[in-house]
Amino acid sequence: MRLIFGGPGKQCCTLTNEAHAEAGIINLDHVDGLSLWQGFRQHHPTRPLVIMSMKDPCADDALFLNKPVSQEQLLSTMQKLIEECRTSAEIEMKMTVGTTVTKPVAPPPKQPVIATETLKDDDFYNPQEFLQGELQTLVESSRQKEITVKLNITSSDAEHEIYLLMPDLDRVVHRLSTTQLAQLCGTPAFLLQLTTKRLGHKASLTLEIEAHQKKLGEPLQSFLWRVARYTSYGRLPLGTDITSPAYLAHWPNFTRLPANDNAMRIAALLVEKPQPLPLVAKVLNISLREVFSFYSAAHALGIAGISQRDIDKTLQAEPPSPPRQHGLFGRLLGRLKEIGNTASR
Amino acid sequence: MKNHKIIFTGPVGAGKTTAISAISDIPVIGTDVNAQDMTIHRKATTTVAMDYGLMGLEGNDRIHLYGTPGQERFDFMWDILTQGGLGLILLLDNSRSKPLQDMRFFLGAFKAFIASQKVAIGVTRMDLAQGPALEEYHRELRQLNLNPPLFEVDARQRHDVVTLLKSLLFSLDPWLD
Repeated sequence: MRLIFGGPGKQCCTLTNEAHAEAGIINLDHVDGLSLWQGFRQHHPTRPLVIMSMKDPCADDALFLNKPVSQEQLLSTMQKLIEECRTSAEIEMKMTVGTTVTKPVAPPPKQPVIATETLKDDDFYNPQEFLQGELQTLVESSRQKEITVKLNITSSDAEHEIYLLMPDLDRVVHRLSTTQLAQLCGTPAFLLQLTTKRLGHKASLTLEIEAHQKKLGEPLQSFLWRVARYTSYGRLPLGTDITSPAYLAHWPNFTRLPANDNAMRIAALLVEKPQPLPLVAKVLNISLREVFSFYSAAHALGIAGISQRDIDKTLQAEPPSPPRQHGLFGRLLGRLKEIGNTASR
Repeated sequence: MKNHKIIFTGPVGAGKTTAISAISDIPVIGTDVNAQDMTIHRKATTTVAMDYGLMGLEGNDRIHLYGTPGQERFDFMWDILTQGGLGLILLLDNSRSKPLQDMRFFLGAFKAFIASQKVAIGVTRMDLAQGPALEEYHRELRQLNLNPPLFEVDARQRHDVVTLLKSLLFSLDPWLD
């Protein structure tokens, strides 16, 4: 799969992990093939699927490919799947292959609200298995050693460079578009070739001066925030206990982060008092995925976590209801949004 | 028609007048005079009474935007200005000699108001000098047992001022949608 979709099928689809994929391919003859299929359908009832097997399972919900499968058959079936997806969703698609493939593009579909009790393993992710983990480790070490580091990323279709300018500038210089960064973040690290190089003093100084004068790149926090959000994709870092209250140590620097109003609402609630994340979603009436995404990003910046204090676990009263001036504040917020829209034009 | 107000405060040169101008429906009415005292080292003119801007809302409500004069000798006006205010915007100039001390001073001066309402803090001129990082402000705030919104702000950028004001609103009412 990696050879086909990294080579002749490069224009067709790209491999990615299950959470980021918009279609899947399952090898039914795999020892866990049947349970993979059942699990896939349970989690993604409407996601397009290709099943490969020696025997036709007569599935109504998937396209079938009889093994052995040639490269041409696979690519033509994927093309058919893409056409179906485009017709139904009018978006370009991402695809999963057994574990996965994507063609980046289009904003992700609106994610569903999920009930706490339905959280499954794939509602969690391990940052260490993605570019995010590598970046966080690099940031930590380059900050400690006070050095500038260049990270080379080779994916199936391109090479990219990321410079971490630490610790004085705390800036990241790169030429990745939003789509490219999102795609890299969604790709399991084992599919990427990552190499790091420490920059010499002279090269480092030259780059720092240039970055400072020309305002190259973006602040480190903004970059890490984006990386964590793209990687999380509405999931939580592995090991997060969602039944315990989550804390936010302080407000993120929202003027320099790509964040929406809901992120500020979540922050406002969490800095007041640690709350379980499902309660935050319920109180603010927003998707649990959005809360998870916020938490994952704030966690990556080191300002959010799960409270270990007993007092936070015992004080779990519902937050108070909206204040008396709710209507006035709502009108003022509306006016600010108008002004903000004018500013961005 | 109902009238409400939001107060902008902070030391001389922190960008209060500029921030109010960024969001006011009317040209800011100022009371600037040529700087005579130490202020002259920071800017040519300074506000001696207050700045005034206005935002009109749906339903004919009006939000009056008041900027306090930066010099401490005008602090007798601050209590009067804050009466009935919805919230406080504190702007700090990171290029001043002791911005953390400035923060402590203003949070102390408006302590009673902040206890009943909310404050949002914008730190300006962070790109101009090697002043404290935001983390140092947060550390200082923790010692004061406060955890308000605190952002890097360019008072000339409407987006920054709007974000700061939104954070003040969400602090007062996270249920806003």
